[in-house]
Amino acid sequence: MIYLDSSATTLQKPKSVLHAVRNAMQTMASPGRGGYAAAMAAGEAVFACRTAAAALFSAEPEQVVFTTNATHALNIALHALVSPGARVVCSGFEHNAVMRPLTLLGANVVIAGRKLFDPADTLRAFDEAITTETAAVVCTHVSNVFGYILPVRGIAAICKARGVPFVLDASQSAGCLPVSLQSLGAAYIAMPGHKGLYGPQGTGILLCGEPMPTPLMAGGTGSQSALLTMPDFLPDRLEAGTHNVPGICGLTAGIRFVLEYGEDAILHHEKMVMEHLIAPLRAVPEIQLFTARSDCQTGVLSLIVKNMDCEDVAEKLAKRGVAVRAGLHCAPIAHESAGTLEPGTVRLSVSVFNTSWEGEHAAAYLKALAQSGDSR
Amino acid sequence: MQECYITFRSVTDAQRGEMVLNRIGIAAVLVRTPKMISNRGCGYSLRLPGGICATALRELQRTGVPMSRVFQRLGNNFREAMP
Repeated sequence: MIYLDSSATTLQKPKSVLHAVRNAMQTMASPGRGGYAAAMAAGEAVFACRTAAAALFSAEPEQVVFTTNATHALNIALHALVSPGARVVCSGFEHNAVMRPLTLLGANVVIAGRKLFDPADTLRAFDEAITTETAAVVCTHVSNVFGYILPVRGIAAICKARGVPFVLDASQSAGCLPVSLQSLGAAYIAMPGHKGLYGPQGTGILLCGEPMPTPLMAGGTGSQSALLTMPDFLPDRLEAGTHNVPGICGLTAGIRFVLEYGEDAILHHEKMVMEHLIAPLRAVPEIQLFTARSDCQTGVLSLIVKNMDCEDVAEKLAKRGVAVRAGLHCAPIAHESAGTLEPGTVRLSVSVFNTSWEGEHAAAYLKALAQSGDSR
Repeated sequence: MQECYITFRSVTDAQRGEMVLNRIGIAAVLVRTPKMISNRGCGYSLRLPGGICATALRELQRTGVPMSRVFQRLGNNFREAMP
C-alpha cells in the first residue's frame, strides 16, 4: 500500500513507538496513584513525555497537558476563553474541531483571510479583524485540506500587542514546523499525538499558557484527594482519570524520533516526496492542483480530477493500493474559502516514511485515471 | 537516622524536583507522601537524608520548583520544618 493519508493519522510509525507501547502495557500501572514499582514506572514514563514535549515546544513540563486528541485539547481551550456572543476571530481554513465547538459555545465568529496560499492577505485580514473587544483568536497553523502554512507568528504578534488570547491549532504542523509556546506567547496550543508526532491514536497535547482553564471533566487526579474540587494547578487540573499510559509512552518515542530527525529535515523530506508527486501532474489538463507559488505549503496536496467525483477517484486509487482521503476533510470553511465546497477534493498527504518512488507511482495512477475518461 | 520529606502539590512538581536534585548529585527518592503529613489527601514527596535537606531546599527554591511543606522524620514522628 502507498499510504498518503498522514494528515488524518500517520500509519507508519517508528519501531520505537511500537516497542514503547508494548513495554508500557506489560510493565506499567497507573501513574501518580501508587508508590510501588509499576506505578512509579508509569509516573516516570508520563513525566518523560512531558519533558520531551516541553523540549520540542519550548514549554515547561507542567504546561504539557495530555488529552485524547487535538479536538479534546481545542475544546478545553475554547471553553476557557469563549462565552456566548463573544467575538472570536478565525482563519478561513479552520477544521470543524474549531468551528463546531465555537458554534456550540454560541460565539460570534469572524472569519479572517479567505485567500488560499496568500500569507500577506491572511495577515492583513487578521490585523483588520482583531479588535480589543475580541475574546480570542483561533488559527490553524497549517490547513489540513491544502497544506497552506498560515502566518501564525505575525498573527500571534498582533494578538500580543492587543492583549487578545491566541489559540493555535497545530494539528498539521507539530512535528514538521517549529511550534513554540514561549515565542508565540500563545494562550493555548493544541495538537494530536498521532499525526506528525508519530504517536498512537488516542493521544493529544494541550500546551497551556494563560489563563488557567476550567476543566472539561472532573475526577480523580491522585493529588489533593481530600478536596472535592479539581486542583488549581497544572497539569492535574485538566487530567482527570487514569492516563493513557501506553499511548503516552508511544508518544514519547514519537517525539524523541522527531527531536532526533529534526523538524526541518522532516519537512524537507515531505516536500521532496510531494514534488515527485506533483511534477508529473502539472501538465495533466484533467487535473486541477492546489499548490502554492511561494514557500507556504507542507506535504499536503488537494486536487480535483475534472469530471470525476472525488470519492470515485479515492475509491479507484484505493483499488490500486493508494490510500488517500476525499470529500470535505471535516473542514467545510476551508473548502468554502477555496471554492471547492461543492466538488470536494482528493487529498494526498505524506509523512517522513513515504518515498519518492511512492510519490511517482501515485502520480502515475492518478494521471492514468484522469486520462482514462472513466467518469465512474 | 533523621530523614527529610519535601511534599509537593502534584506528582509532576515532585518529579521536576527529583530531576533538579539529581542534576546536582542529590539522590532524592520519590515516594508517596505519608498520610500523617498529607493534609489535602494523596500526594508525592521527595525523601532524602536530613543532612542534605537544606542544600536540596535551596536548589529547589533557586530553580523555581513549587514545594508545599517540609518535614523532618525521626521514627514515626514528623516535625514540620520551615522550607
